[in-house]
Amino acid sequence: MKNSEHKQLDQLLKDKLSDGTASVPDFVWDRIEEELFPEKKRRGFFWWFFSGLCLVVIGGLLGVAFSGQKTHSQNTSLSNNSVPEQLNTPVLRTQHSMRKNKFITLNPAKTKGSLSAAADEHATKAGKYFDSNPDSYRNATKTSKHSDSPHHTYQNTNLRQKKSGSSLKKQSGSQTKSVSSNSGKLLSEKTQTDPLQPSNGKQESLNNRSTDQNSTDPATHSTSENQATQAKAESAIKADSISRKELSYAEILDLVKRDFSNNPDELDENKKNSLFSLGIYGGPSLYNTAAFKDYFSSGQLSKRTFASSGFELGLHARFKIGNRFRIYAGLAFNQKQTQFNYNLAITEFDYFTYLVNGEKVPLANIRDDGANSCFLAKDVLVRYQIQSALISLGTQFEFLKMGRFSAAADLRLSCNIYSSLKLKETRVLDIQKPNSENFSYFQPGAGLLLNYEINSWISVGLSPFFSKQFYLKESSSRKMDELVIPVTVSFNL
Amino acid sequence: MLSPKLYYVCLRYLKNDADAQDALQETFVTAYRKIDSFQGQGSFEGWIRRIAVNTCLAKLRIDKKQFEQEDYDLDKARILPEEEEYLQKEETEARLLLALKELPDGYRTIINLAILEDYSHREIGELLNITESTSRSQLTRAKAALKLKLEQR
Repeated sequence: MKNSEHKQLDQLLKDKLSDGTASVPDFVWDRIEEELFPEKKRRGFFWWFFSGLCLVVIGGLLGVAFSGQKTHSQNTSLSNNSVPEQLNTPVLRTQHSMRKNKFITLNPAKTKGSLSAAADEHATKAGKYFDSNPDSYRNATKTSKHSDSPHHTYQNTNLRQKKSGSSLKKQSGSQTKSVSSNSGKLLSEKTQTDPLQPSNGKQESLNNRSTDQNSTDPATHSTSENQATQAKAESAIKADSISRKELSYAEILDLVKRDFSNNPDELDENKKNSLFSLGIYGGPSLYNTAAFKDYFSSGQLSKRTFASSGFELGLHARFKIGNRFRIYAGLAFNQKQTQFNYNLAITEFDYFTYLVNGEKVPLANIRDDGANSCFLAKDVLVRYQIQSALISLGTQFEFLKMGRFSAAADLRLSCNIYSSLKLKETRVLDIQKPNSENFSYFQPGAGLLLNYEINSWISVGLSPFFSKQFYLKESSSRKMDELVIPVTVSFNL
Repeated sequence: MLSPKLYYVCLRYLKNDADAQDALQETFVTAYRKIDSFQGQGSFEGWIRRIAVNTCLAKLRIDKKQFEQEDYDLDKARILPEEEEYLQKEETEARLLLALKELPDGYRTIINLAILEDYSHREIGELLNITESTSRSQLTRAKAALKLKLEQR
């Protein structure tokens, strides 16, 4: 090309292209705004994230509270329903008074309407085996074991009845026959055929009165025939009383168990069998990271210092397998902050023209006639913030249990569902790009869970956990090892 | 308005529109964040235009090797007869811009810097990490390549 051609071409280019314009697409402005003011969007995300976390926690707590109420109401309804149905006695309705006052007596007269029904029920059961056979009935009831203190009153009653055997002998044969044939019948007939016995009043006085009446009844005469029959009747009454005792105590114990189900020991036993639990943890993160070589280590770095801080908040839903194993799924939020300080001289597009040699070089001493003087920098402070949201699957193995304390090994694999690396601050130099980026990684780890059980519902603990990140896309800038030491609060559901 | 001019600068340096849009975005973000470094000694337009140019250069990441690889274009241009017809044609702006975009990155950058931005060869050498003589020779070759492109149209 001739010199004139050069000039012509230069002029042509200058005329046509040096001051040209082109309309900027609208979306470019949106992108610029998004990059310059990303806070709104990010804050929105974290609001949603933490709102969700709070909802899960509140839901878990409500679940705990609800399940507690449900258990209580079940116990209450059981106790309310079971007492009148099984033993329709005023004495048994109030368990506390029953315990305190003992069971004074079993007087058929008093329990004409109520106890007789229960006795009928019992007699029906017994009758299947001992119907019309007092001897076998007696033999069978002998095997019953009774040693609790409330039995004394029963036994006392029996003794009284035994003592009043002579008077019983004086009773009519029809009465004794009906007694021997069926205890329920006995009770009802006895009360029906004895007009002297009132249906109300203190049982003990009634007994005494009854005994007195029997012993002083002049109209009764014992015969040898009657004696044998009455002896059978006596045995039957005794057997029936013992049998009644067995029935009553079985029921009483059952009711006591149910009504006193708020006994802490019993609840503990139930809670220990709970399969699900919810754990919330939070704590500081100690970690180290590489130097973000992509953006900072391509030049001459000197006197670099590094500082880091971070924390992690998380939630675990656990499922118990056997006595020692648990598997869990978790959700966590992790935030770290990294700060570098170093001296350097840098041009805008990563060409390090000047060597600082580890010492500060006054800006005036740096000769730069080029177009980039305004981008020269020194004493750079760079602060990065890394945020991640993680889902994780893990297993815990309890290898030590000492009373309320326990220790468990924790293995976990996490995967990020959100992550952000953002340049938060540069004191002197503004690194052009990237100011933020997204990345993906897997994070296997292992830890230890030290737990203290405050009560059956809540446990607190310390769970140091070490993990290592592996990135899906190869990167030399992020090789992160992390030690999180969170405090854990667990709710047994 | 500065943005259409800056966008045009980006379009001149970069081959495709998407890259030019990215460069424009980065230019404004950089300018916003570095506004403190603008001391009012020159024009604001010149300052921000320089940021745009440097942003485009950063995207291109041109080095010596690229210039060496692009020499074959120059050889082809020399073989062609020296005709001035292409200059007599009424070259439209779009046609020129298209021809410029078709040039290899190194040649296009040299033309942009030396002719359209009036950078000295020393400045170009520092910017692209090449010597002044390389800058000069590359400009000659770039012009020849552009001429070739225009003739082929």
